[in-house]
Amino acid sequence: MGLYASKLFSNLFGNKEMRILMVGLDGAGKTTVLYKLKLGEVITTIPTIGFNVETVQYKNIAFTVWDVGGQDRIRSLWRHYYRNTEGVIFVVDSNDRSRVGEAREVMQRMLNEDELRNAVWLVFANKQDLPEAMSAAEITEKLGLHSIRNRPWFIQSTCATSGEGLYEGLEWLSNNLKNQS
Amino acid sequence: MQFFDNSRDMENRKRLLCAKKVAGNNKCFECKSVNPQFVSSSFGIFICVNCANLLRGLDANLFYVKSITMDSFEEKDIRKVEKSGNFRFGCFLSKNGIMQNGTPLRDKYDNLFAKSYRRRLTNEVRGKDINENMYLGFNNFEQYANGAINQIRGPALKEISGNVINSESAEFVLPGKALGTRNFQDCERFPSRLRSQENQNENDITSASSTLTIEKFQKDPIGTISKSWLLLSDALHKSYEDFKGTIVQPTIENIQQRNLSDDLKRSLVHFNEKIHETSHLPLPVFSCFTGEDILPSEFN
Repeated sequence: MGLYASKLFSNLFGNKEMRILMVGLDGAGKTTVLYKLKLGEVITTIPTIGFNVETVQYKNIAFTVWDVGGQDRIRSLWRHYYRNTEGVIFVVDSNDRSRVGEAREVMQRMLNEDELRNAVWLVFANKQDLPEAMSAAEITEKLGLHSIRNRPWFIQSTCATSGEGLYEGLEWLSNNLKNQS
Repeated sequence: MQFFDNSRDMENRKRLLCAKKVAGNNKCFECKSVNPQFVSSSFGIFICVNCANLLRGLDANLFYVKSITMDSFEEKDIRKVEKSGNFRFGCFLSKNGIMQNGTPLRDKYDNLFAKSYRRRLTNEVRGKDINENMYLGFNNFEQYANGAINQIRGPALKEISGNVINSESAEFVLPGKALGTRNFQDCERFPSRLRSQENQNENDITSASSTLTIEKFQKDPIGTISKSWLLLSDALHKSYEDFKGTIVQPTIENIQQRNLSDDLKRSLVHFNEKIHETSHLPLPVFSCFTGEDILPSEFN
């Protein structure tokens, strides 16, 4: 009863929680994105072994962001984080043309996961500061985002080191959370 | 999510760990910390987790890192590692005058020589024919690398096998290289060969810097200047070494070896004669040359 009361209370004042899973190929910049959001600064990261989790407050929503390592061999562990995930942030290295195909493959496989069928889909086209980075439109095409029919999706070009575009992404997530509830 | 052919994966991992045992690969290429856990499949070198992070931040197209434990490897990656390795790449850089320490990371891996190394390694792994002249900085590289190996190995072997190096019993654990008597002889000739290479290197470097200026100067003036400065200073250093080796040392040796006593005697006699000839000259003439103040008062 107390639980319901507190839920009601928090809903009245508009405090919400959202569980986000952040994935992507290794070296795409997931951990940098996470700590840029959390601390507002660029930290020196090492390749993630396991996961990082932080709560990021944006407006009235507390995003619990799970950032899991993207190495080839540990991608099979991602599925343990799927349950109750309301949103997925898929981070892509826009400068890495040689591995866009791999990213597409990984993403399409995730889209077919049953546990993620209700999750909204946000793609970060990261590393936009690099001179030869692909544009968001180009990545949309290469990842085959237009074929997503059953859920809302959005692509945001970002630069994790300067923080550009990160909050725009969260803004979209928060709007879509409101639409769902 | 990812399904591996398990036996294949294990085999690849074994080969990688074998490659890690080869000389030089058991330390990080950048910071020399032990037991590196990451591999750069661009250059086929082993690096530690911290350096892997710094280097993958450069550019994924330039420097691609994979974790030994967390990534799966393809055949070509492993062959690159087996072909290259820390020692070989280090030799290549030092031969072409790129300092291991003190060079900014980007300059170290984003230059003409490193690009040529990558290109060659990729083609080698693909099994294409390698033409020595097609790749920048590979002149006499094999001999240089062998010589460098021997320089490192030589003293250690002397310690192991006593004073006499028995080349029959000395077997090196080196992939694809049977080292024998010939290379031990090479070891002695190594410095002289180095000298001859340096001449060629200077040519290489000047040509490289000129292309640098033409192609890249407008795009990135400061980077180009610093790069060419690096090359120039290296070339200067090398030409100094060369000069010292070919002219100064022989002259000194020459002088040391000659019997000087005859020359000395002759010059002393000559000096004596001159003194006697000029004794009648008045001291003021000398004072013109030596300055007035030092003249003793009694002569005035």
